[in-house]
Amino acid sequence: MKTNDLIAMLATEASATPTVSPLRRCAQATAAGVAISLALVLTIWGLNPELNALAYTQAFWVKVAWLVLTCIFAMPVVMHLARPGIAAGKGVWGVAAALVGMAWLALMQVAAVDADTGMQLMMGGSWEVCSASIAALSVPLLAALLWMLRGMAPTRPALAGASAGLLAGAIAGLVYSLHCPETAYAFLAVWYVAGMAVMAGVGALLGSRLLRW
Amino acid sequence: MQALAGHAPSYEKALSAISGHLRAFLKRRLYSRPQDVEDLVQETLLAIHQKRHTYQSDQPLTAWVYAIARYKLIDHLRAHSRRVSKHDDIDDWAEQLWVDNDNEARDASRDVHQLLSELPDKQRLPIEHTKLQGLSIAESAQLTGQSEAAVKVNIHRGLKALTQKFGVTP
Repeated sequence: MKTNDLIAMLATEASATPTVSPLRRCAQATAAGVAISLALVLTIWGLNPELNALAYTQAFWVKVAWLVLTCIFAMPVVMHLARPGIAAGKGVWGVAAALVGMAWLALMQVAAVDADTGMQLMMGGSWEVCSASIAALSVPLLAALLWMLRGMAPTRPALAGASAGLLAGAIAGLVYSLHCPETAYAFLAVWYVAGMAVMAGVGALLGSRLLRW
Repeated sequence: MQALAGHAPSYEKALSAISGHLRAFLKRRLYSRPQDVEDLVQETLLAIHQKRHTYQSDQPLTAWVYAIARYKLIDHLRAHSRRVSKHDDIDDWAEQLWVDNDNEARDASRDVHQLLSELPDKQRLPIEHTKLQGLSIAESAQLTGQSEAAVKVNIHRGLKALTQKFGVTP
């Protein structure tokens, strides 16, 4: 086909310009994922019975703030990578700073106590299930975000998938906080981050396959 | 922007202008495969059309267009290199593929030379010259010192003799 014929043909479809805002799509996808993830944690994992008491501790709110910050930084990265010709942006540094910051807090915390106590802080009471739970809870979120990205045009599919996985992991961490009694920095820096990292890896793998266009 | 708002003539004009830039952009990067450039221009235009909702007025249009073109280019090169790696170069197999034919040809040529050797030189040489080496009657005449008419006659007689002897038409 001649290129000019193709252009003429495409021009006849010009009126059908879709006007769905990427931001709205992202918000819809995230909301759907959060809803499913919340339903899962409440039905299968169950609400932490001591959540009320936990909510009066400072450490709990540091944890929540840390996860919220990570989400806030990761969200624009996903949005940027969804569109051609836009750099991932400063959000990457924000996410990195959040992760490094928590690692720093954890180190300070462990350094201040003896080795046994440090180990106890790191392992908490639920280290075996923490990362896996976060990964499981982030599955609906990652699915929703990948669906959103498929409707966009990510020119770096693996990176876009990885950022979606990280965002899904961070949101899932927030959701899991409703169940999880752990608030030690050392615990978060290892097991929460491990859950997010696994999801980032899964997202990268899925992204490089599912996000081609 | 008007082009994206659904105004067909300006959309067509914008696509035409973009296709020019794309052609130049892709030509520079696909110099080893110039025959693919137009395909890729069309593919990129199609992608631009399908993904036009991802363009927002807060970003430079060229960055958006070239990012799509680069993506399609990388995709294309990757697919091409896959094809190349699957493509088995026939030269690698030439020996196995043609070995039978080579032998046949060699056998046949041995037979022919054996047959011809039974003919007298004045018939054999013109036949070898014209039928096997592809020379003209005049060249054969020069090489053998015979006249052109004699060459023709000797070829004819030689072939006739072979036919009579072996019962096959040449």
